[in-house]
Amino acid sequence: MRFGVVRFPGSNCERDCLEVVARLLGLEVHLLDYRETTDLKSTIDCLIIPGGFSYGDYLRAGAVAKAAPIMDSIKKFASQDGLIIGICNGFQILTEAGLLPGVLLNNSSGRFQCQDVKLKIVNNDTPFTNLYQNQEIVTMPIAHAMGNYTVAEKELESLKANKQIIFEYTEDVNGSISQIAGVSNKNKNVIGLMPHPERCCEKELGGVDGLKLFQSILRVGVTL
Amino acid sequence: MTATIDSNKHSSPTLDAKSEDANEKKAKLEALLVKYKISDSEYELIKKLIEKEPNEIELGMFGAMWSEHCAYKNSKPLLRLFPTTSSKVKILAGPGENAGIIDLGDGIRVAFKIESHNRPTAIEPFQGATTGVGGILRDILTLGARPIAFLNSLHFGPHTDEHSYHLLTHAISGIAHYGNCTGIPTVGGQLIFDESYKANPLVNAMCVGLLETENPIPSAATGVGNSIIYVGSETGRDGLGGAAFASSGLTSKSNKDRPAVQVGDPFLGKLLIEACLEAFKSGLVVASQDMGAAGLTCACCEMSAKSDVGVDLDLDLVPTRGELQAHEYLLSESQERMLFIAEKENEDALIKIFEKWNLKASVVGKVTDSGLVRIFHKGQQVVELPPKALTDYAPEYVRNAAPPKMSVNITVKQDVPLNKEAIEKELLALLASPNLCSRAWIYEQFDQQVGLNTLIKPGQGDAAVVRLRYPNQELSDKGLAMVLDCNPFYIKVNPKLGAEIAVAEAARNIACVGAKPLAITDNLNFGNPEYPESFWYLEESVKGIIEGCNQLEIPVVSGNVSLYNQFAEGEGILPTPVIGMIGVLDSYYKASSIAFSSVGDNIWLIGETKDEKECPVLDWEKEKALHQFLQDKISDGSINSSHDLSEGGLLIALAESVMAGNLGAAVELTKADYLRLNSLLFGESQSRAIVTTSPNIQLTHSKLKIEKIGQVISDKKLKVDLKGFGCIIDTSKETLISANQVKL
Repeated sequence: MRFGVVRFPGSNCERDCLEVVARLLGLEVHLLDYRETTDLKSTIDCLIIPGGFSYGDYLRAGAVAKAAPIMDSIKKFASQDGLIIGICNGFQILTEAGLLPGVLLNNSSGRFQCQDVKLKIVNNDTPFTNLYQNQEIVTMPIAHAMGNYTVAEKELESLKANKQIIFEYTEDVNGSISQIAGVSNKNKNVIGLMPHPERCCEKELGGVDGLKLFQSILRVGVTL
Repeated sequence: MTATIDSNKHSSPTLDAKSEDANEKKAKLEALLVKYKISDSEYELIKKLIEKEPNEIELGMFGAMWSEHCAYKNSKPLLRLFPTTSSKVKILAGPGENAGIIDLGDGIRVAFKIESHNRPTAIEPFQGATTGVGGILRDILTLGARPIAFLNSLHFGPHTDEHSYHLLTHAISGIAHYGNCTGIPTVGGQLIFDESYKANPLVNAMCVGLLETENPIPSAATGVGNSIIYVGSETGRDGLGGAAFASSGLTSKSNKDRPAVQVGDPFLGKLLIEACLEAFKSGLVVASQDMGAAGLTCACCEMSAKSDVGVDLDLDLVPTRGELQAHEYLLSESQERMLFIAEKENEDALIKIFEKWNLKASVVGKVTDSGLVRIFHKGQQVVELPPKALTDYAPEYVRNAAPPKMSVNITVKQDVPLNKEAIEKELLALLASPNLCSRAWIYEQFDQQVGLNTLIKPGQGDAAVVRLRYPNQELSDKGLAMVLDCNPFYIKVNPKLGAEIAVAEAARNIACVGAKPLAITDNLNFGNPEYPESFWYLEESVKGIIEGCNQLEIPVVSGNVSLYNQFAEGEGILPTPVIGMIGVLDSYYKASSIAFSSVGDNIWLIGETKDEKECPVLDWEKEKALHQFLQDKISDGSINSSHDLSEGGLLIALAESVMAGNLGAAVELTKADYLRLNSLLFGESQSRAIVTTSPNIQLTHSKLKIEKIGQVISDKKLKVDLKGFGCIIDTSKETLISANQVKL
């Protein structure tokens, strides 16, 4: 299993993601520049789009990054069943790019929120959640100002029907519709979530509930 | 007759013109001196130093460089008294450098400094606080260090005052804006409310960084013929005259100084971090200096003065937003700008690094052997000054100090009635009081975890703790504890003792997480030094800090002075010497939190409880013994949680340790006959802590009073019995939290 972490100008969690994959999972991982236009499939199996403030979140979180040179490669990678996980700003970028449904609005609190939240695993039948139990409650930190997930009522029904809702908050955290914290595409090879699994992979840092997400991806690697 | 008059008239205009000319010139000069806040005697000194009459641009440069903010002219004689060395720590850089640097061995070198952004915050709180954070970040970055943590000390007017609340909430947003976007965790801080900060709030930001280069990047321009490279944001009219503005008192007209407030762009700040570190590590940078207060002027003068070289700077090569006049280039405090010195043949390679990060970099001048700062604009030389005149020869003033005539009256609170209902009510009221209630609503707006280093977050420990990395980013075993502390109410009553307590408490906080204090950065926030009372507070506080440093054998390695913190002729702020302290843990995983962590653990009270006056007494021998004891017992694994007793005393500390964890406490207290009930429950006697240990561990110490006061229980509540009376507190964790997390 080979990982890639893309860095846009203003990304600030790329080092954390690299560290989790390299140090904690002991796997091959590449830092990719946003100007890269090469075929991703030939070098990596899973792409992480990390958190941060790509392009300063100017205009709207993710709105500029979606036009970055690497995005064509990322879209192609997604269409080739490449695994993609967008964390926080990465989730925002994926929704802006149309690779994931919905949009992320300002938190209903009107503030940036950094806190531990409880999450319910809604669908464990994905490459990213197969080591969790369905309905399992886990704890992960959030750190965002725009995590208020919104979709049209009709689309919400189709998300539910297609089991695309992967993570839900156990209480209203930021105003998200149906307390949605993370979703996937129909094909389940692209997911995005606002919480930061990479920040809870070591007990000294406050928890290890995020580790299973990365280990789930590994299990896919074994069966590939 | 008419002709004669005419002829007289004809001749007199020349005379008039001459005297008018002279008068006009004099008036113009006077206006300039007022504008740049230069006194008549300072003007005379300038002429003597530079052996000519300064032109308008040069005068503006003196105004900025000789401001209190840049020159510390009212505080330097006091600052020289600080101990800046210690046999216990290896210091790579001390005061006078961009930040202090402590060498922890194995390549781990910690840079840290605190800086104020008080005045800008008073008139434009969001940008004022934003740029305060950005400014201190670049002070750390310019040394070759990656910033790894922010802390902030905030002092504001009462939250019930609409304007103060506006200032506070916007300042917090500003701090969050810069820290969150640049990906540097904000891990600690303090907030104190008092009426005196109403018109003049304090925002002190501390940044801690780890050196990634082999040696600290020098700030002295060396190598005649080397190029000067300007990096980052364009120069604009923002922040014009910020240094001078920051060195004067606020008035009702201060709003017109809004252009003196800079505007921050954390996105650019983030790019600058990565680009500069890559540039530094490339080995192509001879020297670097961030452009903060007094912008280009300060950077040029300091870089050349430090190595006795000259600098030629061509303003026409400086990237700008719109057309600027020469003095605007020189006094702008536009943010996110750095100045680099590099060998000529490395220019292109260096510029390429910055372009990779989408940053503008341009050659704007060169290092010369003239010994002069020469500045050119539109082909003309507009400035020629010996740089040391601006940096080293600023005047120093020893002000008169006089203790306040009136004694400070603080009424001692009556004892709480001895009944359960009254004591519980008092505890909940204290937990909900503005200066003790939860700060979660503030620190939850800060990203506290980015970087995967934060071990003890705000609310979890007496000090923040992050794990330390080697320059290659691999983890070491070491942890770094950091804290900001100042109780201005003690300082107001007894500035020397109050400052000693600030140092002692900071060190106690560091010890409570298991770390050893290493060094101090201080932010001296005081009123107008020309008022003897105000200067007395400054002088006494400095004495207190010195005593604290000497007792702990730790140095002051960096700091900042902010004077004239007052509104018009009114009373100044509470004297507020903020202490920023760092400490080291040999094994980061041993860091101790305040949370009760294991059912059945014994709870111990260490230290002696006395009846105190307005400012508690401090016994350094006991204080130091406590620190050593805590460090030893946390290191050998005996202690499972620890929390120092400070504002609000024993009951508040117990409540905080219950609230921070998932367990409860059952405590029995004994009141000595001589002791007031309030002193036992809420008193602020120094040199005390509560710790928990496994039941099989006994704690004793020859010098310290240690008593077992209770057990950690699974029931999530605080239960306190008073021997001979019965239950005085029986309150659930939920009730404590709902009182503590009051919405301000």
